[in-house]
Amino acid sequence: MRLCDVATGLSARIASVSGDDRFVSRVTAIGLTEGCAVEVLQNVKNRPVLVHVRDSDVALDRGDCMRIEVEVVA
Amino acid sequence: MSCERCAASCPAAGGAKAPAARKAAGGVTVALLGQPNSGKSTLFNGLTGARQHVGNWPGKTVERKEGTFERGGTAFQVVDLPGSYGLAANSPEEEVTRDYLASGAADIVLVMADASQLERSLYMLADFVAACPEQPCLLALNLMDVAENQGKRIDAVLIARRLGVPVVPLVASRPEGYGALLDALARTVRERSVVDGARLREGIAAAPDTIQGTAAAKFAWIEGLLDGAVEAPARPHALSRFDRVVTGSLWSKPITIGMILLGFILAFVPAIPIMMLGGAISSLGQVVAGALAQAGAPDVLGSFLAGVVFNSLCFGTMMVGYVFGINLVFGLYEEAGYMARISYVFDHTMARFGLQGKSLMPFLMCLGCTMGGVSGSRVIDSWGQRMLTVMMAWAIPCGSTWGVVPVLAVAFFGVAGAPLVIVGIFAVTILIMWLVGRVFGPRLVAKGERAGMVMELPPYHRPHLGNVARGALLKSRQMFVRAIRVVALFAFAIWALTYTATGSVEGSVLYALGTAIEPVTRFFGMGWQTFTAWLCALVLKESALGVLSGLFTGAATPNAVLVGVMTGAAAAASNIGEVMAQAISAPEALAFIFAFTFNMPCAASVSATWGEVHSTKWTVITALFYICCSLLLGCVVYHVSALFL
Repeated sequence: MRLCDVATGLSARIASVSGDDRFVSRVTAIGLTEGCAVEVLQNVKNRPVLVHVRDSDVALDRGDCMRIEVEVVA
Repeated sequence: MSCERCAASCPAAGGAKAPAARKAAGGVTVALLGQPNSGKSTLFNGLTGARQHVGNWPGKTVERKEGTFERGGTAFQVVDLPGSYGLAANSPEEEVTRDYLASGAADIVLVMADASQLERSLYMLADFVAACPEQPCLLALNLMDVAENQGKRIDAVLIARRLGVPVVPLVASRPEGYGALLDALARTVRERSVVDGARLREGIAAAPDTIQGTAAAKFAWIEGLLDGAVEAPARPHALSRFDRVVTGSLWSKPITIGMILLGFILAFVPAIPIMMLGGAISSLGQVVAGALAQAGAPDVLGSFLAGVVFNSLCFGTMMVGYVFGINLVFGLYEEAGYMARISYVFDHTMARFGLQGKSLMPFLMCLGCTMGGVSGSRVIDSWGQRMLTVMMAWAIPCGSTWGVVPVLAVAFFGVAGAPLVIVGIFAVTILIMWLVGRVFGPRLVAKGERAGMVMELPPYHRPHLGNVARGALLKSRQMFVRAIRVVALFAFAIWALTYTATGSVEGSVLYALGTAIEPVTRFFGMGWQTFTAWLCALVLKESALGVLSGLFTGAATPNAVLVGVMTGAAAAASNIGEVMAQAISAPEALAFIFAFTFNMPCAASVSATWGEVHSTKWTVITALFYICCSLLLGCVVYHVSALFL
């Protein structure tokens, strides 16, 4: 499942981040590494996806979230 | 990752310091390193106060801030490195930071982390330790007050023992509490302590050699560092009710626009008294000029004093009013954490133009005043996006424009035709903004930088008014010092062109020039009178009406044009529209309306732009672009409308 498809309130684990080096390093620098737990705080149309990761709230571009594969935990 | 490469060029590893590095003689150079929202700028302002210099990094479109302070007989030079989430050289900001660290110009690096989100914000420290293992440094845990409010307890002593460098809890917005930080800084200078990064290096060596693998190793090191050092109560992560409404609901966009407009209105509370002072300076100039004339001084002296010296001071002071008010209010928004929400809500809309959500703010403010919008662009953290935003924002007609355009539009095209003119103006506004985006967008915001939003939403917290006011004052002071020169230059040029010893318009240089080149200006749709008004509007937009009035109705008033420039619409005859309608043709009036509206904004806005973007080159490019646009529009509008009107 892609991160952009995870509904508000669900928790997930990052499975993989694909894309060019630039994209991957931007996303990892803010804390989204493979295996880490995220919680989707808000996922509404035409807005970046809001996730809670490593004790912070982070906004991620919706298009970019298509390149982040996750496994929903609960 | 290329840690080894960087390590080789790090000062202690490589030995000699890079010659290009600027260093204070005998002083200590401290570089501030941290992620966005870690409070670097707040600490920078708190440490250096008014002793700071803002410019651009050589050859880079990234803002460079340096300052100095003294402590215990030692002179410190502080370099505020651009904020970024890591050192991967993904953006011009990260490149600057990386190159600076690699140059070895810093004696000490002060790494800042946000104590309220320690795990994530320590990534910068891990990146730094991996890149520059021999660089003496210390760690400041900022926003301790926010962390405490969240119920977090952080054992700085334990973290310091694990790292091997001083770790100082800090509230950067309270400079009175800097004692421990400054002591730790002095200790770092003496002991030149470096982070014990053995475990980090082992972790990175053991991890897969990919970006993900290295980053995971860095976070694992951070987790080990914080293990048992941070106590946090379990709390729900869901968005607060407030955040759900202002960021996610159907109403979030109108609410955001409302909050920006509210901020703009609130900014006038401190601005109006300062602006009134500016107005008083201008009036004082007239009084002084009058008194000088009474005392028998040459007329030119009084005119010069009032028209250039007092007028420049007046505009400069008015500008400070705007700059202070806007920096104060939006500084409060930013410190409270709200600014990131504005960016989030409008990210999708603005990203199409290569801009960020915050760019909406200057756009809205420019409907009131271009100067205000330009000051508001401060919150945009990427220089390229800030410049592009300002460049586009210049196209938005300001409040003063609306004091002139309807008067002329109604006089020439009647109550029925005027709205059409106004619709046309909005259409051209959008066209020019689009054009700026197409022509200059790729040069200012590189394609790679147009990456999607990756931004942290900081937790809300109560801003410190004193701290924000201090920042706004510093900013106002810098702007005044810079801006007054540009404003004075404009005021002088217009004064020199319009002043006449006899008092009648025919004696001025501008008249001679305007009538001589009238065949040329005619091509752009303007006769010498409208051209004069167009030119004078460069000093003050609303002066156009005063000048037109002076030229068409009040030719008997001595120095009518100059009076028009200084008093603006107030000096305009009430029937100026009708008088003009008899004197010039409708196509000329329409050409003037468009050329005037889309010319570069007033001198104060130009100098505000110069002060805000720190680039003479781009300020000049923007000005030239708008002058060309304006003349071209005048030409097209004149010749096309002449076919119909």
